[in-house]
Amino acid sequence: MKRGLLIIMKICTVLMVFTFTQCKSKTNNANKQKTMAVVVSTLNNPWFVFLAETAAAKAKALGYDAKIFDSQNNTALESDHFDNIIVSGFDAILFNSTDADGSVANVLKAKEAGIPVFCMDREINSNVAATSQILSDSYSGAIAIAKYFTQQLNKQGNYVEILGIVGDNNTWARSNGFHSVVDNYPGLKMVAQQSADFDRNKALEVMESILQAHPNIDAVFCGNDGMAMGAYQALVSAGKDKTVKVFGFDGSEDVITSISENKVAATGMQFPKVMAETAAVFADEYIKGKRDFPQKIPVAVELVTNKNISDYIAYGKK
Amino acid sequence: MNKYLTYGLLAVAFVLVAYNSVYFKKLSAMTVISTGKFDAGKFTKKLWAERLPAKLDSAIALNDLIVAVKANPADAFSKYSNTLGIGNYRYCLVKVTGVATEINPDDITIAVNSAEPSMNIKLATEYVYGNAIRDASGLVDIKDFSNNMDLNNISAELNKKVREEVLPAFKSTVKKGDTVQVIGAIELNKEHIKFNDLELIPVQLKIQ
Repeated sequence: MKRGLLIIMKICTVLMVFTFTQCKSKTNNANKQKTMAVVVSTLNNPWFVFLAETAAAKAKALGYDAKIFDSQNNTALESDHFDNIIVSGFDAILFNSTDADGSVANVLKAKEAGIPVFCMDREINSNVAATSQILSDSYSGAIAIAKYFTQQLNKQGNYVEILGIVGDNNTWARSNGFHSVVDNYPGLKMVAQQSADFDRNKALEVMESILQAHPNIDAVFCGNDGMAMGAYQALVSAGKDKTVKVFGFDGSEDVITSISENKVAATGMQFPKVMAETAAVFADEYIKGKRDFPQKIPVAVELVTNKNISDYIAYGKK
Repeated sequence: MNKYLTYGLLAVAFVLVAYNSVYFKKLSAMTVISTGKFDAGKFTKKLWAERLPAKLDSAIALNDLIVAVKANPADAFSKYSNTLGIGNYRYCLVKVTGVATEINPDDITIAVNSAEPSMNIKLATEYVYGNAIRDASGLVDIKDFSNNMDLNNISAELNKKVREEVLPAFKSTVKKGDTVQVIGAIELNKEHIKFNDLELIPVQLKIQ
């Protein structure tokens, strides 16, 4: 009898401790100001600055404290940020990754700590780590560019492709989308394909070097607008800017201006504001109890040419 | 007696733990197609044969869509358009009857005289790419897919079917002056609605 009572008391104690701990924790959480961390790959590129600041602003507008962490394109630094975020007890992470594979461990770390992660723009190679990934539909955007590219070249000519960072999924989504159209036209010949790491200066150097080996080209497709401007500079120096058509991807200010001046043929307009704000709204909904999110949600990329340029400004619509 | 009480309490504790460990979801929410195992060709073949025909039958007449969008864009886009992602592009399944007035290498100009006012649209006969058919059909649910490439491959397969199975016979037969009946998909930008430059991606084509 004594033994039985002892067991009952032990069970009751465990249940009471569990219940009170939960209550205390809930009370503390209720009193604490909720916070969102914005972890961005780099703040050296104005596009990502806009993405991070928009996400933070939306989080604040939704009633949260928000702090921006710059990973400086360094996965190790990104990992340190995640450690700090977990220790500090942030409620959600709005995340722009440095590396599709390398960032997965960081996201899993946050997940294990019970912090939801919402990816913005850059995909990570896991379907179970992030709560949701809000990503530019780079593949479909590149298809629209490729269709216009093929029309502009009348299905024939020599062209160059300048790729972004080889380890980034956007690089290949854009390249594969582009080739899913142009490769159907045997008259279009890719004479060179080289990476310039999404960097304007590298693209300038790459293009200068390619032009020496292949002076007779008709077009250049670049994986982002920074590289498109670098390639355009190289073409100006070589006196070929009037004959070679340049195609970019992003919707940056330089390229939007250049399209209106007929210097660049087209770009794919991404919408960092939409991605950043959607991530913040999703995080808010998660914190309030929603759990049913699509793992990956594409954000449409719109084709911008001199025909519809009046509808657009940098990073979005007028 | 105490023994029963002990077991009873243990059972209660077990039920509490079990209740918090198990949750129920609709079966439809669990039909996620895993990456690498998804066969877009097979999926599209089935969709094309079994589910798309009924959708094509329910396509709205282009003129009715234009009237509806002009009257109340938000309501019209909600009723007649679809998209899988977020953004301004919306896709609609429409039916059009008109006269082929220009046969070009990459498209055919169709004069839609029933429209008020009458209008010309471009029927794509070469560049059938993108997500128009997939999204306009409303038959693909993004929550069933954890990988965007699977969704891209559905679009690619649908477009391939049109390019390889629908268009060749039509292109070799159609002549200037023919009345053609088309059911297909159009893309509208809901922020900048323009009807003067519409491109129709065909799914079903008939020459009357």
